[in-house]
Amino acid sequence: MDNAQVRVARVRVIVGLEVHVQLGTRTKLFCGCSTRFGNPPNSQVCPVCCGMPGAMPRLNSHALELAVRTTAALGGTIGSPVVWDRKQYFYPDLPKGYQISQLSNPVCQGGEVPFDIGEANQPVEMMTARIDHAHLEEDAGKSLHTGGNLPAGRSGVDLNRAGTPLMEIVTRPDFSSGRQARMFLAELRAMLVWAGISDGNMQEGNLRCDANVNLEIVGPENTFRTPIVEIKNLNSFRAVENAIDYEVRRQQVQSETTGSGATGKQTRGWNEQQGETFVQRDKESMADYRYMPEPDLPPAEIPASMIETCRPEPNLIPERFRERLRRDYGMGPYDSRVLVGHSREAAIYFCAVADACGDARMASNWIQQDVMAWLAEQNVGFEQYPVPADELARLLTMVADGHLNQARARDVLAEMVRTGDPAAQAVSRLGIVAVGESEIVRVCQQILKDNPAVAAEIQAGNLKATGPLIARVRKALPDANPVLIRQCLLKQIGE
Amino acid sequence: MTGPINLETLCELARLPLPEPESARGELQDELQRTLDFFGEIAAIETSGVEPLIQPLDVDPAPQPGTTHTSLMGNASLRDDVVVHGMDPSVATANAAETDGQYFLVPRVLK
Amino acid sequence: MMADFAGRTLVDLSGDVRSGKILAADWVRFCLARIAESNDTLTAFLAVDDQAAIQNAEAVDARIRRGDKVGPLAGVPVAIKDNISTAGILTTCASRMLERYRPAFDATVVERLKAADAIVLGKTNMDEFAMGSTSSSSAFGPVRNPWDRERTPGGSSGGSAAAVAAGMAAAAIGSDTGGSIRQPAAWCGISGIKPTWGRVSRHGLVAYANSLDQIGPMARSAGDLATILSMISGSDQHDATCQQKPELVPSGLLNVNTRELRIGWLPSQFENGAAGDANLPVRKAIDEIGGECRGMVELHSRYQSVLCGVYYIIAMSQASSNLGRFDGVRFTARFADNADPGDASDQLDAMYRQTRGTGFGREVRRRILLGTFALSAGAYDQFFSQASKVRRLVRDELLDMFRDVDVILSPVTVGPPPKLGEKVDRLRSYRADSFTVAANLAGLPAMSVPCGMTDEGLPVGIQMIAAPWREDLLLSLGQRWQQMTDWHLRRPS
Ligand SMILES: [Mg+2]
Ligand SMILES: [Zn+2]
Repeated sequence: MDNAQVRVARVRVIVGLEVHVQLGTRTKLFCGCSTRFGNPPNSQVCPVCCGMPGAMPRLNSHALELAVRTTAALGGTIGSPVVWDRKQYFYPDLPKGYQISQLSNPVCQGGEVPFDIGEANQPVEMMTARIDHAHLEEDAGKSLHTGGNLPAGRSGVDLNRAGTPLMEIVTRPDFSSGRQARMFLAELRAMLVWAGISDGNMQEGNLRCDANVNLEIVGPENTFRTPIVEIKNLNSFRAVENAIDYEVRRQQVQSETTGSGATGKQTRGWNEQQGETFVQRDKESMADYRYMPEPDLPPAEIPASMIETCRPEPNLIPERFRERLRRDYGMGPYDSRVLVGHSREAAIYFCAVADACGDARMASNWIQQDVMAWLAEQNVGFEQYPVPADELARLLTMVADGHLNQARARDVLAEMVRTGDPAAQAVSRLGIVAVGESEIVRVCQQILKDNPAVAAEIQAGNLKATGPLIARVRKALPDANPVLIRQCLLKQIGE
Repeated sequence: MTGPINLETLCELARLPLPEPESARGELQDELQRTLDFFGEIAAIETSGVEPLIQPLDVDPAPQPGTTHTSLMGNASLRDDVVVHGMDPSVATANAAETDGQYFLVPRVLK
Repeated sequence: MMADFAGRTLVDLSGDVRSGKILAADWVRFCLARIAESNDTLTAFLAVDDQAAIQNAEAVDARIRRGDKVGPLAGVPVAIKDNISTAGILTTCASRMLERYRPAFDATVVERLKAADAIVLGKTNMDEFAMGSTSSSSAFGPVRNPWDRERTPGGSSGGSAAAVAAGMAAAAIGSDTGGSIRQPAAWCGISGIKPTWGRVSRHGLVAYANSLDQIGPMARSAGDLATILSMISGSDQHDATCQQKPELVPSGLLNVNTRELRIGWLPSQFENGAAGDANLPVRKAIDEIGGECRGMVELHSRYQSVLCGVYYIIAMSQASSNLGRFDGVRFTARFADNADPGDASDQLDAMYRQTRGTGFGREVRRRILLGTFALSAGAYDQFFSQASKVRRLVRDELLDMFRDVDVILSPVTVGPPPKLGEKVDRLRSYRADSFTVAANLAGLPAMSVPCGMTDEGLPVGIQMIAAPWREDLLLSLGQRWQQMTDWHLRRPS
């Protein structure tokens, strides 16, 4: 049987992303309405964002600043002056019949995002995605198709979101798998959140992604590309990865049956439940957006110096921070990924603890196990952790110096979290008294004297027998450090 | 001088109905075509190297004196990021053709 | 005692209101009586709020009696063109599309008039969405010219012009995209000024073509225009293109020494019957004004023949975009039979089409189609982009002229107002705007003041154009002209 698959020599996957990021402003792009999420329908609207006749846009200076910050973070060139174009189409949630966007001179031109595509506990593997451009635009409203008390056969339009500032970040087609795209998106999100540009809350739609996917198929006879498919509205990291991978397989199968004579450009949606993409619009023959320069907004000059002042400190770019943890703190790829991956606050907290206690490994373990567990349980971020970094560092120093054992230190930390007390105060509140070395020596001597048989066993080389003896010493001295007890016992047996 | 217009495409883009009866379409088409031919006379003006003029602004409203160069605040044409209460839902929907007092209602759009 | 409300300027009359010599309420009642008398035939007003007008006027009178401070326009009855938003008051743009639309907000210009204690009488008729120059494309019937009721008053601010000419209002607010204040002012024998683009806030003006639109006053004299203009000008938090410029007091607008002005004019505008016999008074007035000033300079333009094409391409393109919001969803009428078959998205499309097909009149639909074409993928470069480039050349040429002259004088119209119902070829009527559109393309201030009469006894206006922000030159020269002549005092019988 002549199997088409056999003839396909090589497939190159070509993926580019268009990411819509909601900027973290208090008000909309062109009016003073709040951008808060989740309020009753049409309660955050005004004549401007409702597109009422005669209402005029006025640009939010903070949105423009965040756009400049985005440009700086992406390493792009500023397109100044900032000018606007109307993108025109009809849809009930598009109040003016056009979206104010940027076509001719996007605010961010070029740029790149280096990111790590290594698996969690594998070595670092860097890749760079090139940014084509990023532009500012206003969001549309929302259409509600079911639910609520909608009358039969009706959709409801809520304009609370209409006019919310977005940056649309468009990459070059630099990805070759769903996974790469997902890793890029995670890095981009972290970068924007770290730089204070966006809340990056994907549940609230702060980050929405479209993926352009096609294949270059190098066959024995000819090489061709499948038509580009745009998958719209991918609202989670998982959806980005799965939808792209699904689409790659689908196009491959399709190309095997149709060869190079495939259909034109398509827009598809992603069905999460079915795990499939589906056709939304065939051949965009009617999509003529009739872009027109916006006449109601004067060009806004951006001072050349502004791009410099907006450039994020190197420290505040996640990938640079991971690099720093590996280089300056001796962290492995896994730990640096986890610490930085949690949040900017986690990474900064870690550095502060590690610097103060001088033991990065210990700081990393405690933060990853104890601190992050507590935060996850409480569902809060580092900024709400009750123990300041220098106090955690003090606690860890006591452990390192042998003044506290791990178990007791956990009790102390719990007390510090509960009361907000400094480490020393929590220690004394719990009645923990530092156990002096002479005290340990005295008790060890006594225990050995009481258990000569066990002592002899140990001396004969059975070190496992040390355990029960340590336990007895700790019964007498609960705050003594077990490591010290062990050392003391072995030393005395050796003598 | 102008390529023939496609009335159907234009009506589709502008969400306008095609004229009825069908005989009226040719008439409208001709009339539009004549107007466009008249407009097309502007091609006679040499404009290479000329930037389009979008707004007859004499000066672009630049940052006002006294503002730092690191911020765009105070630029006359820009707005501070301060929330201003707009309209209540009842006011927003007061002129709507169909509303439940909360939403603007339209024939159901499936997505 | 009934004062001579129709025969005196508003500056005069409002002075008498402030000093208590006459009552604002009487002035308003006088206008309302005129409206009651003639609006049925003239259709100048689409909505009149007589109770509110009288109440507001009485409140002004009461404050004056108490010795409270009142604004510079205390008691002045003004009419507002119906494409300017008035909170709670119908703002239809003379279109079925907005036949029941009551805005949630006042336009800035309305807010400022009210703050100056002017009395808003109501809303004036116009060409639908300001698209026209005869005020006969209104969905609510054509406006008639008070000088000859068989004729158009011009447009699109024809209702505002007719209201002032017929004494139904002391002044009116109009909007001018390609001559819509100046041309009806000329044909109705009143004065009207289109200020510099950015002088008066457009917030609340239902946009026709944003980069050309400008709001301005229409009244009986240049002095009246100066008073109103000074009250409505200046930067506005709602309009990012509106600018603060210093000379905003009436005295500042009127105290230019006109003897020092250099006058320019374009002989070509009078050659080959370009302006018609009807503009002989204009030609005469140019000489008379020139004789009063420092000198006259003959100017030549390279772009006269393409001005209208450039203007209409830009205007229609922006209009096609601005009118996208009229879709049957948020504030317009909706025309749709629910029984429409087909799937869901077809139903929405059918609703759009039926609403826009029924709500917009013929000329509006036509301009939307042409604008849509001019912006469409294959046509953008040849139409919108080329027009915007020629626009720059036009503006640069005009700004160049203002190195040698201070004011350019020209005709406003190519002839007298046509009779209503007279079949006018569309292209010819588009070309008829050739004297007025340049000022809009370049964003320049331009004014029309009466300068004579045709043989048939119809008013003729002369246009004065100045460099950006130099309304002071126009108003001072206009006032000087109105001291030399009495054309502006003539009234229709
Ligand atoms: Mg976009
Ligand atoms: Zn708003």
